[in-house]
Amino acid sequence: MELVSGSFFVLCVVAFLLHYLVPKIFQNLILLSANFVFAYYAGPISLVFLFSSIAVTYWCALGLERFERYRRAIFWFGIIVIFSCLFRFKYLDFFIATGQNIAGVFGASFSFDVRHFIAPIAISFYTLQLCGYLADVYFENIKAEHNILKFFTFGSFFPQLVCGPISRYSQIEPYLSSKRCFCYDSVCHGLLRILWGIFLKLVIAERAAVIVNVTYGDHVQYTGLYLIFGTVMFAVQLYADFGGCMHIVIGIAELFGIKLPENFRQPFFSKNVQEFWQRWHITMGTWLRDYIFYPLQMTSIFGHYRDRLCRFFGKKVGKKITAYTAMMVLWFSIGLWHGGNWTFIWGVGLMQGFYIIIGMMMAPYYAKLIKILNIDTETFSFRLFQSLRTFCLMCIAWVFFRAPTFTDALNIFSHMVTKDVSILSIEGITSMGLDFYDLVVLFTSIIIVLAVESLQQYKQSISACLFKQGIVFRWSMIYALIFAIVIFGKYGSGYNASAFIYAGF
Amino acid sequence: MTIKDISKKSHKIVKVCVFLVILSVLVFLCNKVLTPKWVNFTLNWPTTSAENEFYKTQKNTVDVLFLGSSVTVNGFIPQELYNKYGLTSFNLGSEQQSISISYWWLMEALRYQNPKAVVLDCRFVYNAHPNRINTDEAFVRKAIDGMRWSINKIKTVREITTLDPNHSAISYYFENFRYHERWKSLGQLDFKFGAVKRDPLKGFGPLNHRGPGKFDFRYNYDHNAKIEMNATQKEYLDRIVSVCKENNITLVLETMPVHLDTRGVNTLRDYAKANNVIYHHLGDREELDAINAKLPKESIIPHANLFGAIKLTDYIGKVLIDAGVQPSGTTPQPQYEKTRSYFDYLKNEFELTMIDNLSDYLSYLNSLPDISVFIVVRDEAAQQIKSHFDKFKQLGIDSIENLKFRDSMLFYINKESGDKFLQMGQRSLDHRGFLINDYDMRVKFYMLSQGLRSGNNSNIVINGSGVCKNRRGLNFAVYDPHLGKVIDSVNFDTFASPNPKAVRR
Repeated sequence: MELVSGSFFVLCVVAFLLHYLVPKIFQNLILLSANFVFAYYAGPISLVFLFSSIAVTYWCALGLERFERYRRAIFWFGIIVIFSCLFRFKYLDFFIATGQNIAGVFGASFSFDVRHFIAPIAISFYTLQLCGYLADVYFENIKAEHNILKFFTFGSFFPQLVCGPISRYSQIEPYLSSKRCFCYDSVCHGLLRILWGIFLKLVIAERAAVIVNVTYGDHVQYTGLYLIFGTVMFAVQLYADFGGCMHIVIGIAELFGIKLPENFRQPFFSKNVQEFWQRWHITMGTWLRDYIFYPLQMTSIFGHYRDRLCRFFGKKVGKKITAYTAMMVLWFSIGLWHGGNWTFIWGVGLMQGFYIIIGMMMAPYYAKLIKILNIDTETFSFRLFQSLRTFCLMCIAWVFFRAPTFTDALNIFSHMVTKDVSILSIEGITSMGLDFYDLVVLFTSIIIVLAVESLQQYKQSISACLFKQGIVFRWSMIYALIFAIVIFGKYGSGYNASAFIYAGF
Repeated sequence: MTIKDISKKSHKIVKVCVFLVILSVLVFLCNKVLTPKWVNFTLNWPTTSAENEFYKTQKNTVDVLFLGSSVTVNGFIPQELYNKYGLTSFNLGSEQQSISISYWWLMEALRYQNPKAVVLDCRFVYNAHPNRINTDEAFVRKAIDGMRWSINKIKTVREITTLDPNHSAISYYFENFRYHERWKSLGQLDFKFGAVKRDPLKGFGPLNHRGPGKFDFRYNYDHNAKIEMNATQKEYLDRIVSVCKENNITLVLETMPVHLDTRGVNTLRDYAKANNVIYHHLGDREELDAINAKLPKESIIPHANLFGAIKLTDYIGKVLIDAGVQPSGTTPQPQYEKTRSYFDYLKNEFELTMIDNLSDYLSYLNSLPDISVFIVVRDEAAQQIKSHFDKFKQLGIDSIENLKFRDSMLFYINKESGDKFLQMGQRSLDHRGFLINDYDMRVKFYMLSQGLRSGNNSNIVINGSGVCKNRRGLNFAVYDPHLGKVIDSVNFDTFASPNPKAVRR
């Protein structure tokens, strides 16, 4: 059941109506039933793994409170059980293949036959969510939830199951504990967000995807500016797809009176890569920071490591290297979370770490250069330069994210640096799968999104602004958005627009 | 709850209802625009205008229904059947109409009419397409989209989607799912809702081609050879037979000449005998002799032209009369009387395509009152036209004697409005303009003439379609604003001969 599909729409409508029609004491039960239906349609295996993982987490959390002596063992038992599912389905093949490659380098070989399974849906997302909860209980940041209905509702909340956001129990619990009354304004806001998300997905992401698939699918024929344009379009596709998904998910949650954490905050306005990751997939970044990065540095292993480095390089440099090492472990984890493939580990993992570390190391020199050149860093032009620079760095990294293999990514880079600029002709620009009209729609939509994002960045929430306007203007804008989707959306026969990129994780 | 709260709540409910009503109206209008229109003046097999005209027909006044594929649309003329026999009829054929579609339209027709006879073309009872509906999805949509919403249409859609899951049920209810991509190719017709409602020919699609000089028929039947009917189509044929029997309707099965091999004819003969229904294979020698279509004017193979259709209709009318089908209403029938002059006008116009020599052609053009005539010269046309000067002047080319050897010439006259344009000279000439037809639509045209010394080329484009023969000499195109179509496109090589023969291929 995809997020943009008829069956999902029916599920939401039925769940929404029942949610507010039944006595409030049954609201969580209605949500849980909807979660169950959604997971069931994803496949019985997904359903079994999801609810088993939630059950293990629930009982382990209760065990943490009840059995003080065995807290550590219970905690690690829970983590290992939940993570082992993720490892088995997503990473076992990768590690075996990597081991075989390494053995090959040394002239050895081994084989390890494993049965291949399709990973249960959303396993990457709910694994982190449940492990985060268990960690919070273990570190006594929150108390274990005794209400099984509430906890199962949290763990399997259907809108966020497929692409996140990865929420903390403390963020959701207040909504699950309170009686959620029908709020007209929340519902309106939620619906507007859903429409905006569908617009991003069906009008922009699907169009950009055509260009990306054509150029990356034949990077021997499409070289030079074609590949650069294709890479930029991949950035557009990624943001419109993932961002659109988030708007839909958060909008649906708002219909039920639940406020999920934001996952994007105008990322393309970032001044540097570090800030970019504070604005892009925010919940994943903060989860890995809070549960991997910081705890890692508190471990004794890292303590010894830091001491040795301080002895060798001096205290200042030693501490820096320790922090950088922890950062690289963090980014390795982020890359690995996206999938068991070196393109992910490098593209959205280690390469990002290098960007940030180099940025941090070069920061004093940049500051000196800016002073020497007397550059005013508060001007629009400088901020634009910073945003474009960040965008270019991210596009370079995303080439690895998009390419099927490392070798393909390197080939794409080599094909990019040719003199092929024929894309600048009408024949060229319309040779990548989209005709002139589609390109006009795509570019116009991108401009509209940029305008909206600019307003969000510098002024206020666009929806809050819209709802303050008069009814004629407000409804005209909403109708315009609806008909932009109806007319320009890529859906219907011949399309399979419902699958979101991040649903693959 | 206070009165103020109740008032606020009802205010919100009213707002939501008004929003949804406006949205529904806008979606309805949007789909009306997006759904393609197949009308009598743009297409040889018009379903939209025919079906709309059918629904306007007075209830229970139609004696005969014609059902079948394109050969039916072009082969049977309701006006001719009325003129000759007083039998009122309607042609509900459509392109590639399989027996299942014929059944669905028969059921729809029976909601509004109680015909005495049904004439069903049976070509599509045999395998023609690799799906159970035995026709392409596009042709199913062409036939079914115009059907009014009712229990019958809901049943039809359900059967269609059961027979062929490639059809999306939701796209029948919300046409934007199927046609939203048409926003790139919307034309004037999509916004002229009135233009699609009229079909004075009651579903008949006139063709104005000339037939071949002769046609060879193979009459050596193997009376024992049979072929299996398509199982699903046979089922629908059985249903049609059953429905006709229940409603006391005389069913006449027929197959057109050429379309069927002898095995199919034999199988149908057996079927008709077994089910006690009339069957005529119009390709049998006896039938062809009785039809008495004289080539090249009266062509009935493979698609009948207008004059061939007159003969076919006269013949099938005789079959119906012999079978005991009599006019049920009083004559004259107003809805057929008011279209009599239109049909006569059509016959008169189409005589033009039967004229072979330049002199008679010019005389005939001069006799037609409201046509638009386009003439362009290619290469050389001036040397041998002295004998036709008078007729050219009568047409409106006052200074025809000024046309020099290898000169270019553009001539356009709109006899209805009086607009005229004439240009001659040694250089390349071109001209753009438009005229307004009876459907209140702008018809854009473009003309190009290049004598031998200025390019040796010519073109006439009317409404985006090239209609110029582009041969040496005079190239004519004749547009009729009442019919809304080009009725002839011909070349006369006046370099080769003073009275050249028409070239239409």
